[in-house]
Amino acid sequence: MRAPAIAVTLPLMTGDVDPLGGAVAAAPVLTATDLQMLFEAAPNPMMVLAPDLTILAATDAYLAATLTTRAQMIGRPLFEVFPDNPDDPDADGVRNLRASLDRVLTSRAPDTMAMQRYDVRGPDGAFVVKHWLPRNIPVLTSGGAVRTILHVVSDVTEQLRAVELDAALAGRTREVAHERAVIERFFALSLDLICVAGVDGYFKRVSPAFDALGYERHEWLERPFVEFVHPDDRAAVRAEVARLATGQATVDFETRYRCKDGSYRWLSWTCAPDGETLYAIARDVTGARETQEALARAKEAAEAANRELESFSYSVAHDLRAPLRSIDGFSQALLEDYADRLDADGQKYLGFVRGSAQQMAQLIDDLLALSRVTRSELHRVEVDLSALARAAVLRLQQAEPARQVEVVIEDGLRDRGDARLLAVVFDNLLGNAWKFTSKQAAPRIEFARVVHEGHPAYRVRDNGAGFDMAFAHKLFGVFQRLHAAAEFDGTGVGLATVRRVVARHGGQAWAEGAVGAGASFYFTLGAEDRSP
Amino acid sequence: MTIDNVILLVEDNPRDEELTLRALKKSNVLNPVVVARDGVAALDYLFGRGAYADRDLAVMPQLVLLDLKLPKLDGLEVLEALRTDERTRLLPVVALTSSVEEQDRIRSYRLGINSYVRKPVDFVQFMEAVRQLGLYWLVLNQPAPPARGA
Repeated sequence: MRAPAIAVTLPLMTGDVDPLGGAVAAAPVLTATDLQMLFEAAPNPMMVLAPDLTILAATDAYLAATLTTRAQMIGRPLFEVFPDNPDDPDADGVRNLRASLDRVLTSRAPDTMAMQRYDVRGPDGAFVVKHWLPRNIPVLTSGGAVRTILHVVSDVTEQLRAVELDAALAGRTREVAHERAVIERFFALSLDLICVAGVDGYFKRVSPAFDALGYERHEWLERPFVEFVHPDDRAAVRAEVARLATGQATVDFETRYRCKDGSYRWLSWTCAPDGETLYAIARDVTGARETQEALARAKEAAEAANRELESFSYSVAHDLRAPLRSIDGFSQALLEDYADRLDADGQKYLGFVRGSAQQMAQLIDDLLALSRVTRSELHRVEVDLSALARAAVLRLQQAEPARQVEVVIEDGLRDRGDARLLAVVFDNLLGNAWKFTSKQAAPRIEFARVVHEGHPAYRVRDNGAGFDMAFAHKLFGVFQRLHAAAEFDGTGVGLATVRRVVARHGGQAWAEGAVGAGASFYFTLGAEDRSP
Repeated sequence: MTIDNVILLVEDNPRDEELTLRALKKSNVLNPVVVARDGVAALDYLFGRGAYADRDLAVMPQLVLLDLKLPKLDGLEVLEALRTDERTRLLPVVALTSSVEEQDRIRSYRLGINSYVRKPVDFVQFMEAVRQLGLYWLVLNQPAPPARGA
């Protein structure tokens, strides 16, 4: 159905008489063109549609609101000119407008639509978001049929945007309030001391955690904060504040604060400046400080003790031997120069004197070695234990070339340890084995890695004199000997030294044996701690 | 005639001095021995000061036997002074001491000791050590030519 062309000719004002009685000029008659121009000039956005929804006319305001020219729309189907925005998956403008127009055509009554988003194409072809309040009004023929539909809209895009902005603002305000509440709670509940201060040297606000120092909250704000600081720390605090004033942050700055009761707490400060304002958090590190200081004191005491031991050992090394040398030397001089005036007993006794002096010298040497084991630092490296054992045996063989001992050393035993200290272990363990097999017909000494009660351990085993297991617990004590000096010589320090070296490696040493059936000495080197 | 084969024995303990002299004699080391009882006396002798102001410095000992633990200046300080003076820089110095402490040995060698010998307690061993020292340093070893212009 073709849309009817509209040609309106209405004599609007045809009165000849001026109601005020004045002479009246003949009023002009509005032509259809006049009416069309008037319609087009109407300030409301309006459009006239034919019942088949062809666009017949539109006001300038409508063209402006829909970013369209008259030429683009007149005579064209409504939904060709105003399709849905293809980029808006929820677009329902076409559907809703068509439904409204259908209702108008059916009911022949005006239909007001709810606010409708209906995007329009701009001159560049891009869609522009638009929100409308549309109203469709049927214009009926005298017969009551719908001749045209007047489509009147209000463009509410801007109002909506303002409303949305308001809503967003309101939401943001709520968020800010919430955030503020969170911050306040954080401020109130933090166990760390939180405060805001100024570069003017005053606190502006302090958190309840400050209460721990005993002052009323307001007291903190009434005095320059430096007055709460230990007098010895004030210069450092002033310097730190000066640094902050130049924009540099403070991290882990520790200072003493005076409590109301006169005691001091160590506070560790982290502070960020923002212009004139300082935001600071302090943690009470008094406990940690005290622990640290106690540790430092203990360390110092230990070091002092070590230094004392060092100088003690040094004195022992030098001074204790000198008189022994005199005793031995002059006894020997007596034996050499006065032999004719000494009978056999006298000479024998001088021999005892010399022997005692020499034994004591040996004791001093062994004790010094034991103390050196304690004093020296542990340098753990990869060590060839087999080579250390062979070197120890070589020394023993060189000292007593006449002895024939079968020595079996497992090859390739490597571990992490201090090579020099471990050499002391082998000197002692293999030296003992060497010594206690001296009365065997077929002496045999072994060194190997074995599994002892389910755990790997190193073992030095001999087939020598052995010992009574009842006294095994005494073996590793200083000066403990299980053999009479007449039987086997020794000072009883060697195994104590072994145990100490092994203990310094985090390992253990123990022994098994039986009288006359040899002995086995085991040790570990803290294998549990080793990384694979 | 100047004596140019003196042994300077720096030793504060008179009994050790006696034993050392005895050991030297018994080992047939017949060189004259000058004994300095502390570090200062040792340097006085070597540099012609104090009691030794009249000494002819052209003649230096053939060997210095140096104890380390000494009154006033200790042995290491004496050694340091010797090694920083042109006149004594090349003098053979043997530490003859009780100590086998590592720190003493390291410092002695750092400061340029020629040899480091521990005094054994056993006098028989002590004598053997002195005998070997005498044989080596007084007979076998060829010292550096004497410093000139002193």
